[in-house]
Amino acid sequence: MIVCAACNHRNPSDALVCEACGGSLEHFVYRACPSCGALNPAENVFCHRCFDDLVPGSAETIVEASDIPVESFVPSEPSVTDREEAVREAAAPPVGERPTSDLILEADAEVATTAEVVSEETEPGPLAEPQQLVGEPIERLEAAPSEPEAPMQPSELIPEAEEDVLEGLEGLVPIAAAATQAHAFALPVPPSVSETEQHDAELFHSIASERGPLRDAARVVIPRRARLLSRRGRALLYLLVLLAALTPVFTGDRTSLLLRPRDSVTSLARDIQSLPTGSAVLISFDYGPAYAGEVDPLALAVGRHLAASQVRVVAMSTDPGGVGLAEHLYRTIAGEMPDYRYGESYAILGYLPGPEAGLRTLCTSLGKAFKVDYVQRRTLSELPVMKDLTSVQDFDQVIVFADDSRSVRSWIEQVQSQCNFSLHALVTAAIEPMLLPYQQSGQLSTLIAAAHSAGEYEKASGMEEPSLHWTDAYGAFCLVLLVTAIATNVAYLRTRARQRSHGQ
Amino acid sequence: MKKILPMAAAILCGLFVLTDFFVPHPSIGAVAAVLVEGATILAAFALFLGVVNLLSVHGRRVAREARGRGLGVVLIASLLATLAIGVALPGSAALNWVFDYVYYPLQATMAALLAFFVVSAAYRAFRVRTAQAAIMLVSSLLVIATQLPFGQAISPYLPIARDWILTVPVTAGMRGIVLGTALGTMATALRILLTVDRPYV
Amino acid sequence: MQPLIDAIESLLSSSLNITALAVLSLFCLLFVVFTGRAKRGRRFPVRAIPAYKSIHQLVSRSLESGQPIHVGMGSGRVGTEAMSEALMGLTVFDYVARHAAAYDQAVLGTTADGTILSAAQGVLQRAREEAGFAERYAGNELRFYGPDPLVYAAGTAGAITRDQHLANILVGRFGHEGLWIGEAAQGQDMVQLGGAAAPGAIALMQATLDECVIGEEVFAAGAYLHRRSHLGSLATQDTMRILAILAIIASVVMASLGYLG
Repeated sequence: MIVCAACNHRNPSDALVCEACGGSLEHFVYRACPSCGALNPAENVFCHRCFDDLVPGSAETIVEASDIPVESFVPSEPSVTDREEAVREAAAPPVGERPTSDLILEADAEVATTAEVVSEETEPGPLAEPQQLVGEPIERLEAAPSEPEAPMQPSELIPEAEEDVLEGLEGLVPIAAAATQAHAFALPVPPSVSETEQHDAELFHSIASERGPLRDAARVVIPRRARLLSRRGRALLYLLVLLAALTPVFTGDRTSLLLRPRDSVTSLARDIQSLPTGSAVLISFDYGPAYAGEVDPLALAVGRHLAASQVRVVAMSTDPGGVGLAEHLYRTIAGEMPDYRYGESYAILGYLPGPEAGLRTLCTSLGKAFKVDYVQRRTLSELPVMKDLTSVQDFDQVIVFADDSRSVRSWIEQVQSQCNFSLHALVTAAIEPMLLPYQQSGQLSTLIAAAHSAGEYEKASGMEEPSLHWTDAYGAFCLVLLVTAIATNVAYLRTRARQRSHGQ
Repeated sequence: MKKILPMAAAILCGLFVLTDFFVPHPSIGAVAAVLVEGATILAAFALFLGVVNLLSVHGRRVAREARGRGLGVVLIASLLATLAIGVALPGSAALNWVFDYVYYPLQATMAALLAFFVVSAAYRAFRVRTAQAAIMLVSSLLVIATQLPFGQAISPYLPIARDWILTVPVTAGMRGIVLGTALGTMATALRILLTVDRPYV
Repeated sequence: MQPLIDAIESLLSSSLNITALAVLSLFCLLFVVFTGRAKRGRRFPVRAIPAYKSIHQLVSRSLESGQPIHVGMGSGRVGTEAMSEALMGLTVFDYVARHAAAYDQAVLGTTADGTILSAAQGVLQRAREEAGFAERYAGNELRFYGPDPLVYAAGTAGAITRDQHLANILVGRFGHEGLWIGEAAQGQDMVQLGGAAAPGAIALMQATLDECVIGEEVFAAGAYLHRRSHLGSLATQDTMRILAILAIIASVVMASLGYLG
């Protein structure tokens, strides 16, 4: 069966077009075995699995010896006249046809003629016997009555397969029965292998089965990029990056003094400042510990500002790791402000699974999305901070901290499109460009890249903390990238110059 | 029948949820909500399958005493320990300890390694072999310069340049890619809904 | 009857819904037409994407040399918006696995999602059964490292550096972890191909992979590899893209002329 390359449908062996999809089967790759169904390459004649014919009638049918019924042979005793008649019939050509024996005799005659010529040129002694033997067919040829030669047809030259060469000789020699009887044969005993032969065989096997080296294999397929950076060069670059990261420790983070809050940061600080006491803000910690280094400082600055403004905060997360980050962060804030108590000032609802599906339930009911809170395992209605907060629409602001643009998009598509509210996105710098279209269309009230915005926010909110903002590290890292760009191009130009000088 | 039934179920569920998006009818919404919640539950079970796969691969490695079996032992032990603590003592100090002192630092470390990889990738990418590479190099350095936190102290035009670069060429490129991705997503979803693609059942 | 009228009214009340329904209907119509033509054997001219051409060559080379290919399917999950990218990774794995199974070769697939893992297991099992070597299906040819993307990157980097592989193909939902895996494989001197739909990941993977597919080229994997049925959807995407461009240009002109409020 031919397997269609497009849809894998199994088609009959003589099909030209696929029965299922109508595609051409001209260049099929695989055949399926009709017996066991195994896939075989197109050029295979029999199945590699069960050895059955892949195309019916393509292979000769092997008849097992045990399947042939063999009758016991009873030789008959032919008379002399029968024997002579049989020989005569065998020798006489059929009517209208030249017997093949004549052709053979002609060939022998040619050989004999040649041999005679050769023998005449050489000493007659050693060739006496062969000459005599060769002479016999010539005599027979001369004795046989020659008929006018008719132009031979090609069919006359080819002996018919059905013509039994032994016809007429039945009973003369018990050949027929012997020929039809399958004979058992014994495998010859293999000769003993010498040590040298064994070693050669093993060596041949190891060479024949040895895999080509990966490097050569890869080079032939597609041109590989040459390894441009040696181990030492890579180590040097990594060292530079490490030094860049540690720069603020040595410089005291002086460039943070030069920070000026951007408009978006100032706008957010103003929005939070303008919230009346007792307002409620929903914060979603949709980032994991991997990017906590970038987002946590800004989240802490915003959290402190909200706590100082006596705004109720309800935290949740659509990222499994975000809940732990929220708890860690609010433990820090609660430690700084003794009046900031769990359940009264803030609550952590927990992880909301199923990003799109879960977010849609926030529009209808918070209680449906979160049965109990994460820390105290109490129903939401038992928490004082959740008073009059039944759905996302009851919150004054919603702030999403995210490291993935898709989580912010889910908030916009699943929640904000259904229930209108102010959505602020505080994200990693890497995903800020992807969310700009949403800010430009007004779906996001604020979009801030967290990278170094913590210091800006603290300045904008008037709550500066004496902590490192690592702005020196940003500058140092940019410098490392600049050095890398210069170094790689210098190396490239030197390599090109060297190649040119070699070429000249 | 073995393939038709799951395909029919998938098509029906997809059409229900799609209809719910366009027609916010309570009865359709209720069914769609159940289906979507079911997907979340299935995903949780799939996570369980993944954990089983992880245990079997690494368990086999440990049993065969293959290379790296030591790390396999550590992985299995830590997986089982965290699972036990999370299930038996949810929200407890022990789980917080695991999160604060194991998970958090390891994740942060792995993310920090990206900084090193970015620089070594930049070494390859910043080679000016073609005009395109030259344009990429110049634009990369320009964007890096405008991203400096103290850029305003260097030049008042740097923040303006940053905003322009982000809002005009970068957003244009993003929109193009996002549009193409959205079309690709629609096409893939339709292929499954209309059973054009071979279902992975 | 009244519920139906209510439903239609609620549909028509939102202009966003009407627009979305119109776009979806047009998409479906074009999809059905082009897919029908593709199934009937009509050829669609497609430009060459070097990465997919290289995958054909790599698969042949893998079968000759006996060295397996690693296919990383990323961290996308069925049931989320990352499903399409995840399914493209599964499509590439399907192609590689079928050829590997037909010649009784090994293959390695990694994913960060359990649903993709079970689908890939089904794909590999079926491939081995169809090739006639059902008993050769081994559970350790598919590995789950996840569900976190960085966890996936760490596990995959370890898997491909532990044993020698001919090539590393990364197609699916990737973020920054694509760079991680690519850099880890750099030291192994294996061919690296792949791509992602996320712009941030594209920039990083372009710098580290030998051949990269960008954005929507990820969704063309099926059409370029072994699924003629995907050609129709590819043509639909291209047509819709042209229509979107024309609509954008027309909107800009009309807005500039003051026709759009």
